[in-house]
Amino acid sequence: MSISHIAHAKNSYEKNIALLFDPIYLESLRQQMVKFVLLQTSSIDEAEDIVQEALLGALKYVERFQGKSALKTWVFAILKNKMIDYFRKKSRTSTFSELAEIEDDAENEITSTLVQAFDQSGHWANTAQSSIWQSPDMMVENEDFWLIFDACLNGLPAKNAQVFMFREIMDLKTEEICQQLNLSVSNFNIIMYRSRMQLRKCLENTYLLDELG
Amino acid sequence: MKSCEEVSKLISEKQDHDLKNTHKLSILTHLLYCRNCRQFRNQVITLSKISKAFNKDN
Repeated sequence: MSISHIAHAKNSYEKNIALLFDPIYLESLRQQMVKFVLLQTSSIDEAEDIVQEALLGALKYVERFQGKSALKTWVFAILKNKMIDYFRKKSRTSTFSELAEIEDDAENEITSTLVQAFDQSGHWANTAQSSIWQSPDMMVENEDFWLIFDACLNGLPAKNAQVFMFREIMDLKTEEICQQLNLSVSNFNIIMYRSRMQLRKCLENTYLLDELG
Repeated sequence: MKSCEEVSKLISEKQDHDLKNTHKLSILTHLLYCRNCRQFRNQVITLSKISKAFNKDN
């Protein structure tokens, strides 16, 4: 490797780190992080707090960033850990009734989704039979789709959105999630099933049917 | 024989953890003749793929 190569590698690593200290980049990164946390909580204050902690963590441990992944990926990994810590602490301290109150409305909507999905003999009801979806590749290329997916996630009851996100978006293991959120596997199964049923319906109603005209 | 409702629950579970062989078999046999549940399974898989892509986009 020539000296200029080494200099270049060193530069791009340092450039990455310098980004963290660039106010404009930092602000745009911060906003993306807040948006991500808001999938888990409707409280903007909470989201800002978690992001603040994650960014402080990133700045504090910046020398551990090895430049193998993109800076953003590294910062988001820290963010995910902060989120898990935060929600784990919260699930220990918040009273169940407090959560239940907020959840009532969203919960009612889910129950009706599930009731409508099957007839009395457990067959799919006619209204719940769905159109064929586009391929995932086509969906993810469409920017409008992300707005709708985001909105559908936000429409889930907070607890269900949290569990779904840990499992499908953050790709954590079922075991890990149950342990951290103190859920039984059967509770977990129900939450995931309900979330999938509701997301599926939300996406069909708002996006996929729209596409058909 | 399991109903579509029961099978759809198993399909969801299979996405999150390993199932007993008897349950895997119930899904397989049911999917052979049930188009709606096949479609549900595809949607569950699609949701998972979309979610992973969502993470990357963020």
